[in-house]
Amino acid sequence: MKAPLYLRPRSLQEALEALGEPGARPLAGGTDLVLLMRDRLVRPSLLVDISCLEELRRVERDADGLRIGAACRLVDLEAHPLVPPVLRSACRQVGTPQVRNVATVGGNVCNASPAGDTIPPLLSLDAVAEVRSAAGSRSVPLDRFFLGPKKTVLAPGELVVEFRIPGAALGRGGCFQKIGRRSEVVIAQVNAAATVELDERGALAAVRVALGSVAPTPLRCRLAEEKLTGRPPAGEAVEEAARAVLESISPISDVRAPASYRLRVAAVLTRRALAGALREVGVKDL
Amino acid sequence: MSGAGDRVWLNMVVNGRPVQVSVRPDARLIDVLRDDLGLTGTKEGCSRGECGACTVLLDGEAVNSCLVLALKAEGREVLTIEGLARDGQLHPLQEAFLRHGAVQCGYCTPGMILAAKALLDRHPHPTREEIRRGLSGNLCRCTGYKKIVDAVEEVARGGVRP
Amino acid sequence: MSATVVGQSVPRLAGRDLVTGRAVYTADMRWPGMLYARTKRSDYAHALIKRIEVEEAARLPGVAAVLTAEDIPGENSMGIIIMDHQLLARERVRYRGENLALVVGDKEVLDEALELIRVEYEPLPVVLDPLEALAEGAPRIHERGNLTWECHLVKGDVEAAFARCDVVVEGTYRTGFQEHAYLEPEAVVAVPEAGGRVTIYCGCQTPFHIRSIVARALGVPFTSVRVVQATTGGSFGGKDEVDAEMGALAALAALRTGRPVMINHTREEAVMGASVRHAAIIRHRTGATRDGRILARDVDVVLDGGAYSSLSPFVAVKALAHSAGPYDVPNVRARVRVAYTNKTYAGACRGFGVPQVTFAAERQMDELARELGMDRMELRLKNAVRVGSSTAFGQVLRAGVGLEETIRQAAAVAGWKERRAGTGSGGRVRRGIGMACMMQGVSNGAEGVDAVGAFCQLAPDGSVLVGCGLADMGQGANTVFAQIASQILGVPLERVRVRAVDTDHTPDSGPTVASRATTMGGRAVAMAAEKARDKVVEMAASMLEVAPADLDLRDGMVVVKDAPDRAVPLAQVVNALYWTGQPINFEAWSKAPDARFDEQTHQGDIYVEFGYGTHVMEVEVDTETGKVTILRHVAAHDVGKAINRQAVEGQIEGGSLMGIGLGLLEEIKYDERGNLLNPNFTDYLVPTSADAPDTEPVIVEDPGAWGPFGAKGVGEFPVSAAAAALANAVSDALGVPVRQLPVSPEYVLDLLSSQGQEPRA
Repeated sequence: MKAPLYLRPRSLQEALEALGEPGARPLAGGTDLVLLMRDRLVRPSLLVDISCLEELRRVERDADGLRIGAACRLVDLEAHPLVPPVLRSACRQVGTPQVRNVATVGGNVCNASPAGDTIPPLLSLDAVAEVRSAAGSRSVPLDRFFLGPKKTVLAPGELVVEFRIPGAALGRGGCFQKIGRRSEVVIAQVNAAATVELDERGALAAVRVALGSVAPTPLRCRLAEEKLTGRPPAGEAVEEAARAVLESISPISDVRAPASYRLRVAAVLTRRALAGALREVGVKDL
Repeated sequence: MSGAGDRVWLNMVVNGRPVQVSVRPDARLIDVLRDDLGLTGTKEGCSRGECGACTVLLDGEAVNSCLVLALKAEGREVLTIEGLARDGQLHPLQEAFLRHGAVQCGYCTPGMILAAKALLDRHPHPTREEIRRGLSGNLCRCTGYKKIVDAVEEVARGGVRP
Repeated sequence: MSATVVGQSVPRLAGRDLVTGRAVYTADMRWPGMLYARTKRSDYAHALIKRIEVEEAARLPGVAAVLTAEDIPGENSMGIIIMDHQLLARERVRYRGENLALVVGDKEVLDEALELIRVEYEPLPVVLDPLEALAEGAPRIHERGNLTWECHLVKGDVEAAFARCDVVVEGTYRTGFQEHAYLEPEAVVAVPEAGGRVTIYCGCQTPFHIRSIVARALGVPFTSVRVVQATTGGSFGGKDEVDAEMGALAALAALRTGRPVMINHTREEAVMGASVRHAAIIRHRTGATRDGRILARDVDVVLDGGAYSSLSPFVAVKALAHSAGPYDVPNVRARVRVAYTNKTYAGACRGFGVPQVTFAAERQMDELARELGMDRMELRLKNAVRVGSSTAFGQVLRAGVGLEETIRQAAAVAGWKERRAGTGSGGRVRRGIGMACMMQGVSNGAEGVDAVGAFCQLAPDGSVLVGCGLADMGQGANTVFAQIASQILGVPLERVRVRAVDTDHTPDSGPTVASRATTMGGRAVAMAAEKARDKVVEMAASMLEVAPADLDLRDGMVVVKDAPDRAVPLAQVVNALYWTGQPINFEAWSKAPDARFDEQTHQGDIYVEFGYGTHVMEVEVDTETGKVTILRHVAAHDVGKAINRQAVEGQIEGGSLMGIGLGLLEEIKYDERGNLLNPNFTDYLVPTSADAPDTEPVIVEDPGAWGPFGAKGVGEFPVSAAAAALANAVSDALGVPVRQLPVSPEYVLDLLSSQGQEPRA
């Protein structure tokens, strides 16, 4: 079999132009792509190594919020002071320490696994994917980014260069929850993230509930969010939200868990994520 | 670097020595280490980054050499198990693994020791729980891990590391 | 004998090579001109093969040969008792992933060549459930039917005894397929040699069995094949049939191409193309008097043996013999049947049928204790085997029965009496504590003759080389052999070396299985070393002009006991032997008494020795998610004599974690078409360091009569007790009997909701 060409671009522009070639694939950490190539499921003709591009590796606070470069490694984000704890906690739970030393947040998102651990936190933070190509750029809110398992809105030649988290989301309390068969190094049977804030009356506002591994794509559960918005932070409301989650999800049975288990645990993780997020904004007891 | 043909040149420093080797761009680091450089101390256990037997240090950080393309090591330093002992003097982790009986079949051992080194280089005084979490990317089927954790804990407490 | 090497914690003999990466495992071998090979595997779990087209693959540049069943000159079969297993499938495939053809060539082209092989199948109905396989009218997997093996045990009169029982408990228990998951995937290299011979290098535990299968496949005399054990990265019963298969195929390719050929399994192949632990369905009934004396046990076991028989007949007998647990039960009836199914074949796996039946028997003990309102430990103590007890197979235990001591010590260390209070109650997270006991016959027992050959070579510099036909596959057997020789010959350990197993040079001693390396191999090494010692003492006595009985060997010297200043270096004695034309190589043959038993009832003297153990485990169960966390684990084992304490601890800790994996996490899964769903470490989950408890080993030494220094073995024993203790602890936490392994979170939630105990959601 013919080997692919390998390009280490000196600039984002050079990378985008190369990615316009048929058969080109962006290579960041490579922890997914190398496996796909080994299993002969993808056979790229050109690998464009974007991991060396500095502009894709920055974490920056600006007037609009936080910008996280797509090629930031999970190990860098898990301890980064600017990164919201809900996302840091998820980064810490992806794969092994070795994988986190190379895998990137952009890769974890663009791989579009329904179980990708960084996705529910990013969804709960209203993250927007900044997409570039040689032809132009566009912004895609993350809840419109996924089309199905391993499928995204990205067209050939398009590259996610960074995620933007609006400033408003950064002050919320947040919590990430994950359950898998093992305590470490495991693909989530279900994962969940919640972010909340309290308005001036002490009622719940800006509630976000996002889950993974319970549907073809990670998703936000708007029904659950609505059940909570405007209500006092109490156990009853959280219970209702947890029940509402079950109406938004459509888990399947696979080798990792039966659908029935995912349904039961989705509610539990929703409750725990909400309770954790509320603790961060000072609500200790539900 | 960009390559025009099937193979391209890779320059890296392996165990302190600069090497130049011609590789296929899709070659994994483990293949280049084992097949081209003859450094077979790096083991392949699962080929999916789950078992950690292929762990090497890339610029001091533990990575799965089965998941990293060799060209990613361009201009960087790779440490394999063969480079850990210096002038015949075992690294304290190697000594501790032997003394504690942390080695049975030995297949996980090179990766385990390198992962432990990376852990201690970053967190010189981890708790037992932190050691357990820090080594969770390295499977061992023989020992039950207890003696491995004992060995790493002892080195961490001793604090004598080159 | 004044040295005290035996009983010490001694680091591994070849440890330095292992920690520096210098040890050469099979896949590390590089031979000039070496080719690689890989098999094309079936896409169906059960199908007739209509056609295999290999021409296109054979034409691919870099491919040296493509071999199919037609190319096997000798016997295309393997097995232990039933030779039903094809090396390359000829007409029919019986599991997904079975070998169809072998591609030989450059490493880089193999995958592409495999894709070019076209296979036409006629799919057949797939049978995955062992009970369905045994049902009337089930599709036949083999011409001989779907019953691989059946055996019975009858002791006393079970029905009459049940009629006298005050309490009877009954349950059906299930366990799943477990993968060995040694970290080194199987690899072999076949090297063509002069004179039509071929040498096979591989990590393995049954080199002589591999030799016979390879020779039969090639159609050559056994002695034309040499099997050399390479550094072995774990085996646990697994590197047996699969290495024979790979060895035969590599040898075939090597002879065909005239070049060395390596086959190196991927992890996926290591799971789908090699044996697993039998899954089991066990119906178990126990009857006792009101005061807790067990009068009868009735056990019916169905083992899922997968597509080929492999070691199923022997596993069946071992499960049969151990089905009533480590208790003195006057009336036992047991039946074990093994069924063929269209899944990866089941074979030897650390414990060899005992973990499955121990799980059922030990759950029954707790269920019985609950019925009786009796403490679970007291019930065990009341019925535990002791010296003079008769096992389920009617063997009277004569000496070294340390079970009771393991119960007492495990309970004391774990604080059984205090910690059992307050379990099972409460809120979201519930605590539970469990105890489980086990016994296991050491060595081959009912599987045939049990003999080991060993040799001891004295060198003129006073160093020593020993060896026997049993293999060190990571467990540390060679270190134990060296310790034994060092002790007997008074030679410092660093002057003792151990030869690896090599069918040209080490005596055929059967397989390295059944926890027999220390007990059987160690005994043979001790005998060879004693012969050497006798010869040395005889010569030294004449040199020092004293009686042989006055001499002692220590620190590489032969010393007069009462006059330590009168001594002669061992080297000098060996030189004297050599220059007077006397032997300095000594061979010994250790043969255990034959097993004698009735084939119909399995009553008789089957095992030469037994190991015993008791584990106590404390767990916490999250009742919302079903997650089980181990809080504490104490594992007491009577090993007779710990020749190497640290190695024994390592066996207890590692074996326990394999049992915990069986109990909590591990199960190979199939879809309804027989596709293996988790042939990798992504979804076949073994415990990581973050899941493993700090197992507290407790070593009890009640010496046995057979093994060296009273040693009885340990390798397999922790698996069964750990898995059963875990199940008992979770049952205690939930107040509901666990009857299936692994105790998955969904199973825990199902148990809770079946009792109406699920808290919310």
